[in-house]
Amino acid sequence: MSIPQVRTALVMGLLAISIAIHAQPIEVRPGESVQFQLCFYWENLPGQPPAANIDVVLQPEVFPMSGYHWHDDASRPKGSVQPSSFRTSGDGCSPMLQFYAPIAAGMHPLVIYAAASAHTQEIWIGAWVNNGNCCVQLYENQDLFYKPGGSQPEHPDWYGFNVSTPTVAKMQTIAQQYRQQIGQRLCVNDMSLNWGGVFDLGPRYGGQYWQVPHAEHRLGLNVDLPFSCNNYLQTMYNIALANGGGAGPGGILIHSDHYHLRFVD
Amino acid sequence: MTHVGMFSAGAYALRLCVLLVLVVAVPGQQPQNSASQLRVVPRVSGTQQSEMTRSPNDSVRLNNDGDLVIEGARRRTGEQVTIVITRRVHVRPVITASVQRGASGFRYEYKVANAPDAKQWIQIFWVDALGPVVAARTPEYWRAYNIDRTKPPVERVFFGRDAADNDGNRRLSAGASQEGFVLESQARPGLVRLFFVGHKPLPGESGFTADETVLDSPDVVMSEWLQQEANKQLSMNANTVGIMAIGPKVQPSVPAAQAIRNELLEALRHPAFAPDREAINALLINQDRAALLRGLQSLLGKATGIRAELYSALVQHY
Repeated sequence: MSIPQVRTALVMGLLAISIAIHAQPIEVRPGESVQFQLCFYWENLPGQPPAANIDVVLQPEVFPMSGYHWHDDASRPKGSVQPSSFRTSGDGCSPMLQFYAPIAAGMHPLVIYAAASAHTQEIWIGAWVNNGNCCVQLYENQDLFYKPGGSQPEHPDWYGFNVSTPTVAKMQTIAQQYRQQIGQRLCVNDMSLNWGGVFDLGPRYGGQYWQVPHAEHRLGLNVDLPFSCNNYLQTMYNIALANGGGAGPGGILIHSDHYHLRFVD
Repeated sequence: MTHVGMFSAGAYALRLCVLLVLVVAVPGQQPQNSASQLRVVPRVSGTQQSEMTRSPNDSVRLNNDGDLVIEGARRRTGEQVTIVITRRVHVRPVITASVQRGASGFRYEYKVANAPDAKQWIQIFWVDALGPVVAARTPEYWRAYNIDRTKPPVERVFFGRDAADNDGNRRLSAGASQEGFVLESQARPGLVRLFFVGHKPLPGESGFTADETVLDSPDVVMSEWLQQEANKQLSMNANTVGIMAIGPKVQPSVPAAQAIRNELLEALRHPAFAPDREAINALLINQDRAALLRGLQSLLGKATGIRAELYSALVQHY
């Protein structure tokens, strides 16, 4: 057996073992809930029988800085699970459990205490769950640029300039038309975080962590067009409206310093 | 394979095995893989959205002016607040349409007026054509912004202002009118819908009020139901003035008698056609094109406005 063959065989084996160890995370959208059961088996006994009648306690946690929130982890919402303790039935399974996801996206280990041991089941909270389109970065290009000073260290990795995949195409059209018509690049600001969920603005912006003010901006369907770095605001409104920027619920909203676009998908 | 090669491969495999054991063993030292050898398997049944919140005092309505009144919202301090939002419906569009047959189809030309009692000027409007639109033209200071073909068979043609914000030239203010909005299409004429959007002053413009800001403000708390109902009234289609006019509608392949009858049936639903309701109903008994056209010619003699435009278009182009 050659070195590449040995390497391939071992890597495949390693992958297989890794898959066995790491169960698929449970996925849920921000602010929604997921129903599930946990079933327990004695892995070291012949036939891996169900672990019936064992007492189990569940405790939701959260991985720090997950979900593109790099701030204030101490007070980060962890979600809740009901019931949080139970005894397994004869088939080794829990009763139906319900995890209530917080509105912030992120990776949440559900710590499972059972039979004098601790296990984890990961729960991932993201707006991309259930075939959601959220989110990919809307890159700066020859037609659009990010508002100077608009980036936030609290939400790094491309900050909050992420939108749903259909919205990328619409925004590119809007920006292209604006530049062709006006001769200037379109200035854009807050959109959504890469995993979606609440886009909180902290005390530096007059808000509170893990709370609104960006009440929307959760699904990659909102884009802010600032007034301060754009000219021809009426034209900008018309271009945005004609290209889907007002197709979402509520249409285009006028803030005191920006248009708030609402796309539909 | 040589002995040297086998030795090398064996040594490489050994190193990888050690790595493998380490990788497998490291998670084993963590709490989730304890000595009890308990295996946990999740079974997901489904997800559900949280129930929409609604407070007993929540209400959304339109006032006599057509503006939105939202009751039930609260400031963070707990104080109840009634929100009134000016909608973009304070325009009074009046459309005059003409249709000409050309070598490659039909040319629809519109004159758009904003009646003197309008409170907003027309910033943008769109035509929901039902046939393929091959070209759209506008007068100076206006632009055909887009032909949205994402919801066939509708082809939504957007006409909007194209000028600096402070440039009032050819603005469709109250009492003003503007000719030269043109659509070209192979589709024959029929009743289509147009939607008009009024201008709301922006910050820095006279008359600006920050009424919409509260809908996305951290200081104001609204139930999800309240937000949803408010959004319905402010959505793109609802926050407009819609009117009927003549536009691209019927594919050339549709039999003339069938198309005429369909247009008359649609006209019956329109209040402007109320004076002709009985005559149209009587005319609809006919299945024959010639008889339908004779009846339309008779109606045309007494009609004005959109009634005259429709009857004339049907007589000339079917």
